[in-house]
Amino acid sequence: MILTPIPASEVGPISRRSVALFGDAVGDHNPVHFDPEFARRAGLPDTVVHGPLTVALVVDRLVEEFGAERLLNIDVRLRGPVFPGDRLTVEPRAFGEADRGVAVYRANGDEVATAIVILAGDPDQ
Amino acid sequence: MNVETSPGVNHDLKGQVLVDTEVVVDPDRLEMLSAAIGSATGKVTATLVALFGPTLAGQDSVIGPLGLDLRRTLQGGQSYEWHRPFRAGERVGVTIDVEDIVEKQSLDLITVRAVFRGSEGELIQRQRSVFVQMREATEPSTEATG
Repeated sequence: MILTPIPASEVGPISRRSVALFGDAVGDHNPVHFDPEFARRAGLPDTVVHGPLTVALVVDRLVEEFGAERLLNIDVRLRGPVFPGDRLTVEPRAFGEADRGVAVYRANGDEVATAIVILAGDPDQ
Repeated sequence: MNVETSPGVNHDLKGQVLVDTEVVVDPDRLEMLSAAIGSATGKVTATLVALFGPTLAGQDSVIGPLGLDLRRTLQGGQSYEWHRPFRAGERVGVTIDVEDIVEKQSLDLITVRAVFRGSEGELIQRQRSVFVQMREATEPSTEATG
């Protein structure tokens, strides 16, 4: 089975303004994304980027590479926090023989997300 | 970490529909989303991720009834199944239900599903959001991120 390769790419840095815009756009005003003191009380060193914003930024890399019309499905597992100012690296990853997608890393090497991606034109699609 | 205890996740909502309504895809919000993405393809990408099921009808539509405590809840997963992009200004139907609630050690894993349909009833998108809530006052899991 030959799946369309996904090239490596970079995202960010993710600004606090982007986080604020995203929160307003989707109506997610959880203070863990905006209030550093709330985040610290929750045991985090700083506010965290919305998980769906991280996902949207990964989707955007795929849109740029393949076009929106080829995107059928993405299934993302969020594995670690992303913080304002982070620059992310998106790298291709195989998930067994049948699935492929990407892994997302912070600059310090922390893996923050993995995603299985299905594109139109792949085998069985 | 000093976190107050509060009532846990409402397991009775498993399988229940929490939201069944119509919403308009707001062009201004699409613009904000595009700006948040901040790339040349942001306008296109925004039409794929324009609506986020758990908050589109307000924080009290899903988060509140489920009993999620935002001090100890983070998002652990998000999936999209696309059938077509959202269109600026269109009215879409949305049904949001609690697909699953699973107890796992000291965590509750809650899967919220949102299904969006166009004016002719055609499927636009399915999405799933997985939330992870600590059942007791413990450090946040590295499995969950926000």
